[in-house]
Amino acid sequence: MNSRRSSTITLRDTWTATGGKPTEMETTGMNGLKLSKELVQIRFQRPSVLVGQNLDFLEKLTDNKINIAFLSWVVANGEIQLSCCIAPEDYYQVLAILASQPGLKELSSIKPSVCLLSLFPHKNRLQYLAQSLNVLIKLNLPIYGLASSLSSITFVTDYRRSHDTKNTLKTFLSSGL
Amino acid sequence: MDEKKLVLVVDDDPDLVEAVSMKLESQNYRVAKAYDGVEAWDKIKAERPDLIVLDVMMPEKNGYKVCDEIKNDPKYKDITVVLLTAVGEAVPTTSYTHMDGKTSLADEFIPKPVDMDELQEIINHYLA
Repeated sequence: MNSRRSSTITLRDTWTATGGKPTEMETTGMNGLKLSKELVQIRFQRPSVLVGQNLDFLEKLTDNKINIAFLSWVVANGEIQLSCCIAPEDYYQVLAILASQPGLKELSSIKPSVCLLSLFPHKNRLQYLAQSLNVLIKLNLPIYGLASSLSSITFVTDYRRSHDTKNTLKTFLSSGL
Repeated sequence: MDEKKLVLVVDDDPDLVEAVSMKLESQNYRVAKAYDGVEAWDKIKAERPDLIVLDVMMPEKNGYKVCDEIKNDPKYKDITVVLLTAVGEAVPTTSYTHMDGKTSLADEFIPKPVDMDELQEIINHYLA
């Protein structure tokens, strides 16, 4: 998976905007933000015995060179919950792939206009996850998914509010958390 | 004075920066990290690295431009630059290609996805 459809904003400008006062996040070093372009989230849930069909779905995405900007695969209570985010221009192709598997399209829910908000580097500090969640919740930003990777904590959220992200982060940094 | 060589890793993909850093630190290198071309220059000026691993496709200032600036700066032109170039087929939306990379002043090119062993070998070659 690559994340080439995204842009990185460093937070130095934000520090300046907050008077240059070092905050907890600055001093501890999780000072990067990555915000993706608009994406579409596709979610479905089905019995875990159908794991092979879920893999087929993902294989078809890769066979068609559809970039999966975010993928979450959760197994719980005998079911697999799969969530993936793709570019809007790939949407109709993905719909066709969903339709090619019996019953899958009906099981799927589509959420347009989402984006990925990634904070990094987390340095394996669990408190960053709690702090990030706390800020997003305080700002009433919806969270449609989250995942951590080697360096980032990534949230799936509302693209239409992504223009507020800089302000969100100003709050994030100036709050002292 | 720290005798460990300093490698600056620059990529807008934080996970790749972390993965490369972990690999290099395990090989006894010091690592500085930057996530865009502008921040890369901040790090270069803060402490001159011995080698730079530089992604091509980055916001603000792309890797080719950063590389050209380094190689045209008398103070920094001797720093080895390894460019990470995306192969056009793997990232069909990109406007950059490996061929573009070949015209730059970089010392080495590695196509993405990065083969860590190959990268390690190249870095060892230049910093040994």
